Amino acid sequence: MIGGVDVVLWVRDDIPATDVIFRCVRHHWPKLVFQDAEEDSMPYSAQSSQWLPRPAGPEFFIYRDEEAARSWDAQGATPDNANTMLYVILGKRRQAKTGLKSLTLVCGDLTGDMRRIVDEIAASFRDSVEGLRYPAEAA
Amino acid sequence: MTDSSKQDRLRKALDVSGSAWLLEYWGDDAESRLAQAVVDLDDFACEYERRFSERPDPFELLESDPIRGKAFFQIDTFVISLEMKIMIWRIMLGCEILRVEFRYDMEDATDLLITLRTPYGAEEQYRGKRSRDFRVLRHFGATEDNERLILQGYYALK
Repeated sequence: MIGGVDVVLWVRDDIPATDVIFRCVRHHWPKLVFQDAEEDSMPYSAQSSQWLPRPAGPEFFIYRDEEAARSWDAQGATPDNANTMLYVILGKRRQAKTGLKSLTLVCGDLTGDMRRIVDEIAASFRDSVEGLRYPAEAA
Repeated sequence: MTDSSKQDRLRKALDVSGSAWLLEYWGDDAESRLAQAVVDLDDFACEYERRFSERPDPFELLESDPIRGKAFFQIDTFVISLEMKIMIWRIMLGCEILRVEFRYDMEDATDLLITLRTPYGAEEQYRGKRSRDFRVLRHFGATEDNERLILQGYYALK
């Protein structure tokens, strides 16, 4: 749909993936706008609540800002709005041995801010996978 | 809601969040620990409401978003200070972890000061009050940006 690059990450399903993703993206795009994949109308305003966005479904779009959202809505992918949208797909595939679930990030290309966003998301999930656990829960 | 029903609600929340093992771990003290936890959670909600004019409801969060809510019902929440509970809730709401100052000296008091930034840019400071308050650090999500450590989010341990 937007061409570009698919990045597949493997994540724990007991970590709120959308929470992690929005915190990482917000770090680079503080005026982000998000849209559920099933949503028809565009949410043109940046998040006004303190709560992080809570997508209703497993697929959603995050735009850099309102201008980017409007541009994508009106024209689709163009050279002017390149790399201003991240498409997130919380997958259903699961690694047999680790139990980790797939998460796919689709973006224009892995350069500039987008590279940093994707790297930051990947590092965050990596940390949770490699994290410690209580002995009582490890058994 | 009676004290008994509050304890039942907490017991159910521990079960839903995967922390039911705590009741066995607490053993003969389970009832008194539950009762104290209920009191502490009430204190937390009242103090939070006093400061921010809205009452937090971790039980509602657990029901509506179990994966996110689970982080609040881990053992560490029940042994840390009220100040740290408020800090946790602020992070879960969406605050960024702007700064962590942690000073440890084997022969002196430990000092933990955490500065958060709200989505509106305001800074809030939370200072540890108990020796076990450092446990909150275990739950911070960690990532990197250009080799720089970024702490963000408050998550349940595995």
